[in-house]
Amino acid sequence: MPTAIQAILALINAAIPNVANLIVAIKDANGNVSIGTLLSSADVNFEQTITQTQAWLAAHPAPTPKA
Amino acid sequence: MFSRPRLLFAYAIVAALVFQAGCSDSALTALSKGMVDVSAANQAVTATVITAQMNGTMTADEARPVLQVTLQVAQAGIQIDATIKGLSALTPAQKTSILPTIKTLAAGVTNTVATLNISNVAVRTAVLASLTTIQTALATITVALGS
Repeated sequence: MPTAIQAILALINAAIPNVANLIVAIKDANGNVSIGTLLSSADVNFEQTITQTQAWLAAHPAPTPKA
Repeated sequence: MFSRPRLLFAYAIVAALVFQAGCSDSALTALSKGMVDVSAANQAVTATVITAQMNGTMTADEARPVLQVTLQVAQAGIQIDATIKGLSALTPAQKTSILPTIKTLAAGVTNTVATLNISNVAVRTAVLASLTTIQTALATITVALGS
């Protein structure tokens, strides 16, 4: 199945470059492959960054300057 | 099976769709690809800094400014993605509204690079590499949006 999807993506890439730029095959942790958009993969990264940084910043607040 | 006029009509529809798709907006494409590059490098620098701080190779005071800028980039990135999802082209008004956000992010990253205070050389090198990738992607987006 992943090979078939990759073959389809390759065909789309060859035929319609500007559209294919926005299409990617996304493989999840279980090995499942689906077709999504670049922005969906970007959102996953951004959400992960927000979760990690907010947790870290909450656990390590900036020291308050002494009066 | 199909009459000749119907076949010709079907070919015309397919050709029109392919032509339309092939003409998708280059600024939107550059912005979408750029946001992917930004998100990947931003997540990489976040993971590097948090891991280094947890390992003791970086202090919290060294890590904080970097993580503050990666949080800023990620929050703006989510908003930009939400704005452009489903679009087939960017209007001049949309370019004008997105550009200041990109420029603000670029300024924030540039300031972080300029004031970077990381004593561990390996961590500093890794952080600088990811921040430079973000700067490059933001610069490419800025040009694509018409600076």
